[in-house]
Amino acid sequence: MFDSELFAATIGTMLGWPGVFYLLSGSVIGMVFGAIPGLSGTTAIVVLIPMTFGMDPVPAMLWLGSAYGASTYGGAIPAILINTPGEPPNAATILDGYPMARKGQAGIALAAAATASTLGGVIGLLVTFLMIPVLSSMIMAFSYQEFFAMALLGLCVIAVVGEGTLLKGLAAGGLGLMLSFIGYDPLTSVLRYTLGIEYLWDGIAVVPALFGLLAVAEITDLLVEQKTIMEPDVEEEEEGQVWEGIKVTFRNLPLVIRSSAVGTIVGAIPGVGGTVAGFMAYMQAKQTCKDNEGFGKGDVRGVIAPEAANDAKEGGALLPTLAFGIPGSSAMAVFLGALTLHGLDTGQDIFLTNLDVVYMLIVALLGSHMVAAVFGLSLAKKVAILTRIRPALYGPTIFVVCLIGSFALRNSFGDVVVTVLFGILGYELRKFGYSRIALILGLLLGTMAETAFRQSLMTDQGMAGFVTRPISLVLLVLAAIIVLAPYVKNYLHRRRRLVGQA
Amino acid sequence: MSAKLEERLLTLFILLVVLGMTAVSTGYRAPARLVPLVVGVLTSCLFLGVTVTVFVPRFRRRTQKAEPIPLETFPETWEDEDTEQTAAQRHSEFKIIGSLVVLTAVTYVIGFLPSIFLYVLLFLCFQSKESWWMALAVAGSVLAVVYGVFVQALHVPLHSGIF
Repeated sequence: MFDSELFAATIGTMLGWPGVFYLLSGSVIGMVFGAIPGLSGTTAIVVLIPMTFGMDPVPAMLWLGSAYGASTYGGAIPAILINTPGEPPNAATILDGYPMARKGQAGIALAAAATASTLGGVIGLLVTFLMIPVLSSMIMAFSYQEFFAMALLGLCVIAVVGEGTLLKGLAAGGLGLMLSFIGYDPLTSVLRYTLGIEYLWDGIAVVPALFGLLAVAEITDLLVEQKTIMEPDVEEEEEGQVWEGIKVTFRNLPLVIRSSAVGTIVGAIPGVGGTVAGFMAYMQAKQTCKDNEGFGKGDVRGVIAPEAANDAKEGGALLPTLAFGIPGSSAMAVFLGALTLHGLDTGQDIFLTNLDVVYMLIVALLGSHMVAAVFGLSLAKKVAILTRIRPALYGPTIFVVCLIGSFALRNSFGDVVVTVLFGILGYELRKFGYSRIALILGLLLGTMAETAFRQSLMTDQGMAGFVTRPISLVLLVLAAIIVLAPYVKNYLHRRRRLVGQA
Repeated sequence: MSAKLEERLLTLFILLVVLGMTAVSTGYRAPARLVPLVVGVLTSCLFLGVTVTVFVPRFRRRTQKAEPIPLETFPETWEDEDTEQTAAQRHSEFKIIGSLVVLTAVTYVIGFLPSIFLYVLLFLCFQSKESWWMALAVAGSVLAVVYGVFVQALHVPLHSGIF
């Protein structure tokens, strides 16, 4: 099946002229699109597709693949610097990335993100290749019960995120879930909580809400407090941050591999969504790493895990897209459209008649990860300067970009209003110790959890399906362990202390 | 208004919203109300708990000690409940949030491009106390980038006002 000569020739095409131009320009475009809140890798592909109409499929896939591959790292830059993910899958990166920036370690975080993204991307593609024989049976093993269990597992991150008290975190998560129910009921089309407002029929748009809760709230706080992103009493280490970021990622290679495996598996399952991959990787990092007290306060491992998973998930999503024509993510759905536009069929055909296109997509993703890493590492120190600039200078610009980014998503002014309202809500929640991440998780995963739960009840197995299906059972047990672990740990700690005192 | 009062008002507001949503969900058809009702009841209970901790200092201290996750840094609100925000901070908060609301309204009326130019210019001049030249340069650059990226390159039909 593996044609080494063709693979080598594909690499040669990518590194020759004009291949290298497509690789570099695509990667830069992807990084820029990923870094601007409101735009994304998917938008980059959508913008580039019309320009590929006159091109052969192979260079076209190189250009599109490069743009998409580099966009995931681009999304980590605003997540670390201004607490706003460039794309929803980067949301988990803010948990530790932004606190690192506040501690004057933005350079380390950016470099670690670049390195972890590259490693994750490469591992994701390798794992995908290794999984080819079992992939179809694995995908088929996932049904409604497993989707619900995955969503629940994602929601359990609420218990481990370190913002505010646990009670307020759970309450904010519940509020997020309630807000996710606004709009058409996905199964019966009943309108819920719309107050007669037509805009709310489709529910609250998640990305504008995310911009408000994170970016607008954060910048408002910086402007009110008149402080820079980097805390004033912190002295930034000027030299060696980028090198330190690379070293610390390689020191945590087992974590990168574990997170990449999580990302690949989640990415390969259609319908789960990239955001879950980042949060699940973050959660496994917090649960499996030693000395995990620093998570949520600026632990670099909290940046490495989600970034590795984010890029690995693209490898995972690629295979079902090509092999079965089932897109693993929205970007892959657009890729599928691009393949069709270029007259290419997915499924067995593409592996038999257009293997060069498949190889080009893979090497384009690999190549763009490398290019993104080089750009990311060389720019990390310069970009990190933002953390020392007075927010009064760039604050209004970020507000404006957020509002236009929200509008550009669906050309809807309602999305702009949502951004502002959620900005005010986010500022108030932040001020009084409510976890905004918990609210975001509820908002992101609510619809998926509800739909999967109700679809599960409609199956023959009903409620019993959650415990009789092995994957679902394992995921639910994992969820229970994650929620209970802090309490058990606390109990054991208290008991040990009491025994010690006695 | 003290920070304590503001927090109480926020908590009560959210509690009322959640209770309202839970009550409304009872009116939906059976399959559509199942999950919202269950989540609504649970969330209401959680917010009731939060309300108790916010209104009764004794409970707040207890939950703070019992919880395994440390509090986020907002020390002046948590350590000294009677601490009030400084008047300057309060003033600044109103100005920034107010300016955002005004920006949204003005954008709706006159469109994105003129409103973002005016917003950045006026914000930098009056809130950030930058010089007019600096403010003009930044506002002009932002306008140029927005126009170049969103209008020219991406062909986003930016809202151009109601006239």
